[in-house]
Amino acid sequence: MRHRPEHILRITAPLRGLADRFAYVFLLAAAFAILILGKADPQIFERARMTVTDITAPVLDALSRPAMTVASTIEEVKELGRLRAENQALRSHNIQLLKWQTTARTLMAENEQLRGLLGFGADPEVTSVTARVIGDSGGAFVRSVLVNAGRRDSVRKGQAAAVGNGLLGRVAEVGERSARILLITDLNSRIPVVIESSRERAVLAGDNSASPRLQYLPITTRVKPGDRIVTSGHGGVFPSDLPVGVVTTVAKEGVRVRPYASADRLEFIRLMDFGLNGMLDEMLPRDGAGKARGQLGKAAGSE
Amino acid sequence: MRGSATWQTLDHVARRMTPFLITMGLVILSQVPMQLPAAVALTPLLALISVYFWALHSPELMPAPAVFAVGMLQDILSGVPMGLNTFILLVVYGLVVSQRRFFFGKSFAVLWWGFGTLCVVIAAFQWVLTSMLSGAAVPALAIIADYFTTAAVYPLVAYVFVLTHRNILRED
Repeated sequence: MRHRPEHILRITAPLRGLADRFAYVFLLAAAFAILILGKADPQIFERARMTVTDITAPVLDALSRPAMTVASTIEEVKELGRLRAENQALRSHNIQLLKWQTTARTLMAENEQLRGLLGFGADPEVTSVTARVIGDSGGAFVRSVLVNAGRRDSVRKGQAAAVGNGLLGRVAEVGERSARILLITDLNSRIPVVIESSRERAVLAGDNSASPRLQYLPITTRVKPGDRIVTSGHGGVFPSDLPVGVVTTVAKEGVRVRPYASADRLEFIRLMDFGLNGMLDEMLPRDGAGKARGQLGKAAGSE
Repeated sequence: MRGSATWQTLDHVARRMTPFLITMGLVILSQVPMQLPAAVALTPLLALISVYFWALHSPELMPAPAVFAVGMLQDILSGVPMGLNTFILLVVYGLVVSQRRFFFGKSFAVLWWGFGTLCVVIAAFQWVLTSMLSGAAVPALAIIADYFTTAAVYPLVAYVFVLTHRNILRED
């Protein structure tokens, strides 16, 4: 009984070797072909990708919970130690914020009055979905995360993703119950932005490092470290004036921006629907994001 | 009698599938957000360790189609261009299987050194490939850090595989 498989193996070994070698070469060629095809048309494998992601999403969801629990427990213990100092800081912070609140209220009332006088149309209403991060490859080649909300939670491609008050990225791929968020630090991310104080336009281009660069700035720009960067709203993907980050370095090699939204320890992400999304798909029927980003880049760069 | 033969076949198949299933599990596990600050969040390429180990010790337990499937799952879950990890893992597989004779009967230190060397070569290869695909030189430091971590955790992961391997061979 035990001898038979070995016997067969001995006869078929050279044949199998040949078949294995052929299979290997075939698979290697297939992988290369997939790589080239995907480069030519990034959308081509999207459905396959999101189907597999949807299948693994529940597993990732379950696995990410204990990791998060452990992390938050450690964080809580750490916080206990600095409770006193933090309390004091928060109190003074609170006094400051209360002053700001008064200012904001006054401005809001005034703004409303002025808008009423001008007959200015109100901004579309924002609805948002909060999703949990279930997948974070953390690899060196891509800056994206998976979240546990998808089409059934009315998440759509192109929606802005934010943490706290800063822009984190945008929805790049949507499955039934999961979605992939392309972070603004990713190599493929291009966001039309303006410098808040001067209203100069630029494109925020990620390069897989923690601080994306500003591209297509006017030559006469007077950008300096500390300037706030907000979305410009051009291209109709994001609304305008969403906080993005702050300029850290201005050098010959480029202007670097530190995003407000940190990609460390992501737990929950807000996916915001500004009633603007879908414009990308309408404008460009098939190839959505890639070409649209190119066009946005050009549009912002030409002005 | 026939029943027991069926069970034996099933048992045999299950055992042969173990390395593949473990590797698929490792690919999924490496996607779980660890909630660490970015400075500490080095990501060992567990699938690479697995492919190296099994290609070296018993390629019949990790045939090329299995490597292909592992690479595809990693490509899909990590969001890199489709085919990138698949291609790289298959190249590694081919390299290691062709060099098996050299590593045969060598000590663990030699195998580890072999893996470290492979990491250097593959890191450079992946940097070139990624830069070509994206049309710009991508930052190399993060790639080097990932491969360094991978080489560093090799003994730990390999130890688990050695136990698995022994278990499969003993009963097979």
